[in-house]
Amino acid sequence: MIIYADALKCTGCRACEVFCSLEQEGLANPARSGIRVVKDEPRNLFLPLVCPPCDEKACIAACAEPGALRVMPETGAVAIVEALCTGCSKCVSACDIGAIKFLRQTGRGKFGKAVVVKCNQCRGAPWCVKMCEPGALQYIAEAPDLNGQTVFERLRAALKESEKILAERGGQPRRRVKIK
Amino acid sequence: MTAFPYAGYAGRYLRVNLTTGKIETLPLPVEWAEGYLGGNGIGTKILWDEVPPQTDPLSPDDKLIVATGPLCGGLMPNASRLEFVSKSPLTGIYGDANAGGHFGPELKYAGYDVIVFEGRARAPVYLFIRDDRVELRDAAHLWGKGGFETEQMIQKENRDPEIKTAVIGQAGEKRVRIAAIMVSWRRHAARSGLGAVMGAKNLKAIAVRGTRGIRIAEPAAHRALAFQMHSQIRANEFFAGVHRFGTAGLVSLMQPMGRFPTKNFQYGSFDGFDAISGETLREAHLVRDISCFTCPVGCDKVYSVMSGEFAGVTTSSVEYETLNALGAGVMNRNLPALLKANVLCDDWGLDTISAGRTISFAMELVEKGILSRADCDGLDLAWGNYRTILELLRRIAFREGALGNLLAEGAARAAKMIGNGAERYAMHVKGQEIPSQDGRAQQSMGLAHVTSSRGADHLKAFPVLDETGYPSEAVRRYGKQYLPELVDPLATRYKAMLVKDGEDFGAVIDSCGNCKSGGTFVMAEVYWQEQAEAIRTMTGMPMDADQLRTIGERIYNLQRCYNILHGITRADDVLPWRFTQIPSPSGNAKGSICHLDMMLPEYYARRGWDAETGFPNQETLARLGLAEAWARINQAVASGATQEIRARLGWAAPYTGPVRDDL
Repeated sequence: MIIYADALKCTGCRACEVFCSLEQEGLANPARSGIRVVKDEPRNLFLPLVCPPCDEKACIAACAEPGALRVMPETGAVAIVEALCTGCSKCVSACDIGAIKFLRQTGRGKFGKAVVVKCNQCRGAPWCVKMCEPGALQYIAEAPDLNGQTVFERLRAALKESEKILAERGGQPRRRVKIK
Repeated sequence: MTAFPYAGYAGRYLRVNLTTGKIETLPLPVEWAEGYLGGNGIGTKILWDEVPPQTDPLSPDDKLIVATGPLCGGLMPNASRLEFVSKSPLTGIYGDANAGGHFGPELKYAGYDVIVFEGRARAPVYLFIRDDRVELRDAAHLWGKGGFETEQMIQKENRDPEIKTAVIGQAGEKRVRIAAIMVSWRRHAARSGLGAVMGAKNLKAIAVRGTRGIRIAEPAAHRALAFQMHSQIRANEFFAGVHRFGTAGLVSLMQPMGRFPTKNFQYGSFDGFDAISGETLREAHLVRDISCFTCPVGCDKVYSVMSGEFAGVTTSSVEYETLNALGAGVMNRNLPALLKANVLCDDWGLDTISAGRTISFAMELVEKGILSRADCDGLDLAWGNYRTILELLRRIAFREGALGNLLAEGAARAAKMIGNGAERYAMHVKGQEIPSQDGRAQQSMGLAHVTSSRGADHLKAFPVLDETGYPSEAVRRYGKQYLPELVDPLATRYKAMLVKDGEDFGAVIDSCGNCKSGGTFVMAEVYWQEQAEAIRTMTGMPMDADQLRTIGERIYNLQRCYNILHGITRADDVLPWRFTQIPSPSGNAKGSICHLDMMLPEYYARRGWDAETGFPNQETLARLGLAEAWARINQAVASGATQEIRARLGWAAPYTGPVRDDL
């Protein structure tokens, strides 16, 4: 299954982020959600970023700890096994669409210092999709063909564009999002 | 610092003394949360306790309270709202303004429920908050800039586009008494002129970024309730219309009712309404739908003008009120010009309602010969002259020229300064201009304006059940026995009940951080029961519908008591002559006047207020735990202090005298 995000339909309400963070982290806190909505309001640009997941899975290839990132057999989602995650953040850099967040927090991960946070598709019933009123997020079996472009290619292109725009506004590239 | 006992709250608040530069992070008093919830309630409590009535709203002694509530930043539909509370520079009495957007949740995520600003900075500053880091920064480079540029400059200099801001434009800096505060992204806390309070404090902006989370007491139960409310709102019969047009959709609904104020309330229908309707707006100018935090409704839209004189204008938050105040109210049928006016008001920081009403007041004064050509600084104040409207907005925002400077005081204060019968054409209650809701065409709205604690206002009681008829919801909320009168806009029966209940419920909503348009009044799925359940599961505070009603009543009564300290009495609970003496000229309401006399006595009785003075009775206040307030107001009234303050409020009382030929 993949989560497909249509940026044109997103209204930027961030209900996906807050419901995701509750499911993943037990708190209402968009800074810790597995999905994030990159917003550039002056340009009317909203880009929901979430791991679809892609075919390449560069994150798993980059992961230094065997088994810390694994494909869930039921859904195909790439999930973190927190007990094994060292928080080295190699996957964060490897992900081309910025779908993985680095989280430094005492008591978390293999060494009790840090972990990464990403979408695990809520084990087959993603809250973000459920809460997305405008239908910008869809949970579908097959990635749609977008004029010869794959979902992932489109996301990558959109992210590149949004990073360029955010950089103009003084923003950091979003690959590494540090959260206290 | 001992841990705050309830989830849902950040549990801390900031006290920022702008005079000394001292910033204190303090534990949120538990009794504030238990007695007043948050937002509107806590703001009222602080104002009552800490700002004496003789304080000038623009002096360093006034305080500005920025407050979120326990549901803000959580899961409930539109958990976005935050409240600004202070003394109003426009009315001189209790003032508040509420905004959605994304600032409120960010403040909670940074770890603060409330900010109290005191004093006045020596030079312009802005408050910067990033989690535990809180500092006052120099804002000399931002002073004189519009709201849009200010927001982007703050984001850029801090290298973080996700910073949310609350800023004032030039109007607030110039202490224009109808100035608004703009909250990310382009939502406005517009009424009561609170932008001028920020300006008077030399506080240009508040910038916040937060990465802490908010704990939820019963996550599973709260999420289930929130999900149910989101789902019910999406399924509501009014959802499609509100989602599609936002409040702009009301234009076409109000027009045939004769409830679309035109030419400074001389008429109730506008022959050019089609040019400025929600349908036209969507068809000709829509760019995209946008939403406040966690809102399934998304009543906000981005519009742009593609061609013609105003090509290139892009704006959002084009509300029904704006379309009326800067459209029909001033007889302007040029929609692109109206969109331009909207974006200018947003950037300079003007309340579009008060700005539009003040301009229509000036236009009528010219029509009636009270203002002469020489008084107009070279402007042609003919009805509908959109170029004049745009130029006048600029002069008001910058206090430029004699007329601009005069109208920057708002209609009711300007009327007092002009004299010569000008007060007859200032359509206001307690100093605040009446919004686009005519009490002749909807009786409950007339009552709502009069009993609102911040002067004329539709949003305190927000009686929508009888606006266009809402029988299914009226039955669910109040029972079948009140139909059909309850949902008949022209009937007066049961309207006191509707208004009182709306004020109490509205005070609770504004104190919790959810939205009056997103599922509580409009698309009314959330009511006392659901709201109590949401607070209980979010915070862990014991709460049921009855306890919540008491809190709503307590907040509203305390606002009334605060106004009484300012000399407000039964005599100020009046509508201008046009509403009570001149029959509505058009639409369904044709021939109708607002029968305040048939509703107000019942309202006082239901409130437990004295019918003669309009003061809450001793038993009423004692029941609400406000015995101390009763002693304070009676002592103040007996000492004569209240009359002295009333005499200094600065606005001309609305004209309620006989209707003569020369009116």
